Amino acid sequence: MKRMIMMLLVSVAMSAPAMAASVTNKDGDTQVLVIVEDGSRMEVALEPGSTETICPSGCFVTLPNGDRIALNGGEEVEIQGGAASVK
Amino acid sequence: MFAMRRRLSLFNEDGLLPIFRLLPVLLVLLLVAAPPVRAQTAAVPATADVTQLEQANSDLDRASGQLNAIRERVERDKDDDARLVDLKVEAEALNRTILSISVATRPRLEAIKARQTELGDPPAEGAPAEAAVVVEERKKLATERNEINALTGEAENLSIEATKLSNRITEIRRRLFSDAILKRTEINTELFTEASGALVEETQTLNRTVAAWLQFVWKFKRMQLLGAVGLSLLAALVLHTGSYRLFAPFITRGVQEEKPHYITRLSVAFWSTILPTMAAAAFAGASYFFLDTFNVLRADIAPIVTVALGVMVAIYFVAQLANAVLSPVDGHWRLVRVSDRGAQLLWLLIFGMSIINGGDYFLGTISEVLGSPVVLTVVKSFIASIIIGALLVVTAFIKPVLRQGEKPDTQGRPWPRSVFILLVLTGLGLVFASLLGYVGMARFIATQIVVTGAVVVTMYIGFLSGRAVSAPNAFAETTVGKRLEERFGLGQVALDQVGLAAGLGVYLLIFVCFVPLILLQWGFQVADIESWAYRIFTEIRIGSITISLVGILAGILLFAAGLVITRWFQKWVDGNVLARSQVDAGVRNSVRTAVGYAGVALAGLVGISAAGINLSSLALVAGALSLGIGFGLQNIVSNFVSGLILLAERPFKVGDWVVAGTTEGFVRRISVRATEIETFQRQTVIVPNSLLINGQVGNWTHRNKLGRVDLAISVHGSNDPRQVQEMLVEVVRGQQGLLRNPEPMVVFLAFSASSLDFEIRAFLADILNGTTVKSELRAAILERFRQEEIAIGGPAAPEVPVKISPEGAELISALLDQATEKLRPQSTSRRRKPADEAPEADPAA
Repeated sequence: MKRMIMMLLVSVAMSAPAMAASVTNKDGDTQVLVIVEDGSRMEVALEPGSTETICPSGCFVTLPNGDRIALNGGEEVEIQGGAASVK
Repeated sequence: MFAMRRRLSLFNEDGLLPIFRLLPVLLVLLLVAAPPVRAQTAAVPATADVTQLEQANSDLDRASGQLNAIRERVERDKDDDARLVDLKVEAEALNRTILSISVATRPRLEAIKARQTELGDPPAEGAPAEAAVVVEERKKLATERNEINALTGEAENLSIEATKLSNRITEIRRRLFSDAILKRTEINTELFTEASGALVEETQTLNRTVAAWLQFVWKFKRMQLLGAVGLSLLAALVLHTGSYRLFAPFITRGVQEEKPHYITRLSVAFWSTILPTMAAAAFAGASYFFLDTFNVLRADIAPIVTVALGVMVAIYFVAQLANAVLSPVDGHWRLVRVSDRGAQLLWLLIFGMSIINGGDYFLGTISEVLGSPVVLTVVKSFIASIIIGALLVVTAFIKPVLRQGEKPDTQGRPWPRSVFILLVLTGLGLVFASLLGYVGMARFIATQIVVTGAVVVTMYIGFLSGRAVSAPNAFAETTVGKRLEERFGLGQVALDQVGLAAGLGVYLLIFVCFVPLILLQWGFQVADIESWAYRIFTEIRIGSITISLVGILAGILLFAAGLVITRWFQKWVDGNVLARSQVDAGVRNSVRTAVGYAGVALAGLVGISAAGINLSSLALVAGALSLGIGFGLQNIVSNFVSGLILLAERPFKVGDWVVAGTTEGFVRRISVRATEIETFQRQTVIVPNSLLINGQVGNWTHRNKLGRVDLAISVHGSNDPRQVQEMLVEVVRGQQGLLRNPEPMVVFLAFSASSLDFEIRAFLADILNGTTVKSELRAAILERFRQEEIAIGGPAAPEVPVKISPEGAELISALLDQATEKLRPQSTSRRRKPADEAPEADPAA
């Protein structure tokens, strides 16, 4: 019993909290996001279907369709047709 | 509406959300109350959004203004490290505000997008035109979307600027520090002539300022001055006597103790440094507070008084520490092995260095306040550094070291070579650095040697004392330990644990008190340390993973609270509800166990989510582990499930007499993995639950305690079987503790030439009394047999019939007679016996 609890605890600890935001590209094409974080602007290319973890402490994202959104960190963003839906 | 949403998002930032997410789990009320609130926020009325956008715009404008203000202040306070730290904190807070302003506009953007999707694409060229209202709305939506994007873009730029400003502040601070240390001044005669001129001027200004202030205070604020001085003296008196009263055994050296224990020496040294210093610091703080409150201080006098008080506390600390470690007067209390003379010299040198260093800082502040030329400060620090360097070199040449076992009053030996070289090199380094013009660096190093050195030594003593206290059995030897033992009657183990806790407490105290002190020495500001501490407790970021110590602590606390509540609830259910509802003991046990496990599981879940660990990521791990669980933990899981089945099905309960395989005994405890069975020899056998579920388990006391005892009885073969049987039935019927119904039975099992075998089969109301009843029954039967002269066993040897003819008998008797006569004088009994036996044997044959 104790061993089992220990194992469960260890596995829980390994699956530690992920506070950063994650972006998933659900489009057929590679999408490029412009992310402003910690005062620097960088471009992140997302392959179709891939998921990327961005901005642990909040950032601004410029989406492929020109919309700009701000993220606190912790959101899950899906990109579809160049637009984002934030969950 | 906006304010509410803003607040929610702020909670999210602070990392407080996990706890808030939890509360619904704990309190059903919140669970019920929360959804309506959320529903309200979701239904955003369209009319409010324009104003919301305007609000965001004005917020952003204000943020921009604040950023400019901060930038201006940074330019203005370029040389003030403490102000810069505050400004950096402000810039970072502003950055977060900007982010939350633009996050707040996100729902509106989503709403616009949704509405645009509903409206669909505008009609293609040539298709019939849309209604004017739709065209209007389309236009409006597009405009608003553009506005929001523009706003977010502006926020983005502002955020970049704020981050850059904050980085610039860090850069400026770094440059300030290196400038202060590495700035070089040409040391020449001109400098000294200039400085001496400035000194004369400064002395005059100082005299004038102080005299004017004193006169002013004496004339107009006499009562306030006297009151402030009196009150701070009073505070000092209270602190002094109070601390001595409270901590006397820690800070005074007992006269009666000839050769104090090492721990006693260490702890006295540590506490006699710490407590009086803290009292002195409190006194200094109180003095400043009273002087300030009564408006006695003037803008130009206040910094001088502050530095004077601070320097006094620092000197007092160093002197007190040197006193504690070196104990120049009493050799028995000395922590280091140095001679009496050496200790006195060392104390004087250390005290001298601290006075010089403190004086340097004090005079430097006076120059700064009075606006004297920088050269004056440089020259003061130059002289101070050279004196401290010289004192270090002098220290290298005294001979304080003693060997093991040498008396403190003997002549000491010189320092070990390494210490000697280190002292000489540092001293000469200080002197040369000053001579070369690096006065700032020399001053910095001198301060580090005096103050940081003192702090480090105190920390070291504290660590030693903590280690000594937490060593096995050491705490019981101390005064406090003895007192605890007397007062509370603590045992050795408890004292040892208290000692360990005390040691850890000392470590923690040292860490919390002294590490910030050292960091302050190294040019960090209080705000820096505060923000670090805050960050350590709220978010430690490793890659993309954020760990919050506060969250984990809250998780552990909630888990502990959950456990306590579970235990309490379990006790309440068991004692109040189940005890009165007259349920079976087995059901009671099952319910109690189930409640216990459910409570622990719930507390675990609550704790995990409070610690900020995402339970959904647990599903992933469970999926990955399921294969491993399938193979590796097969037995444990099967036992676990079996335990649950045992609790639900209840084939036996605690206290039952069971037989499982070769194990027989009473069930003592049913837990989820295994069941404890206590055999009659009092051996506890832990049987895995799966064995009890899969194998055959006999239970003597399953539905009731009714049971049959079998008793085998044998009597001699010569008895009458019917008589014996009737007799046995009578005895059994008369026996206490046996049931009449079902009727006891006496069975005539078997007979042989030598014995008749019977078996008594009788039922008992309580099988647990079986042994006693059997033994009583046996006794009663035996008594009855004896009374009725029933032979239980036959003779030891079987009888052998012998046939003799009458002539042969006569012949034998004649022969015997002859032999008897020969032996007559010896014995008569032997001869007669065979003669007696013969006639008896005859009829038998």
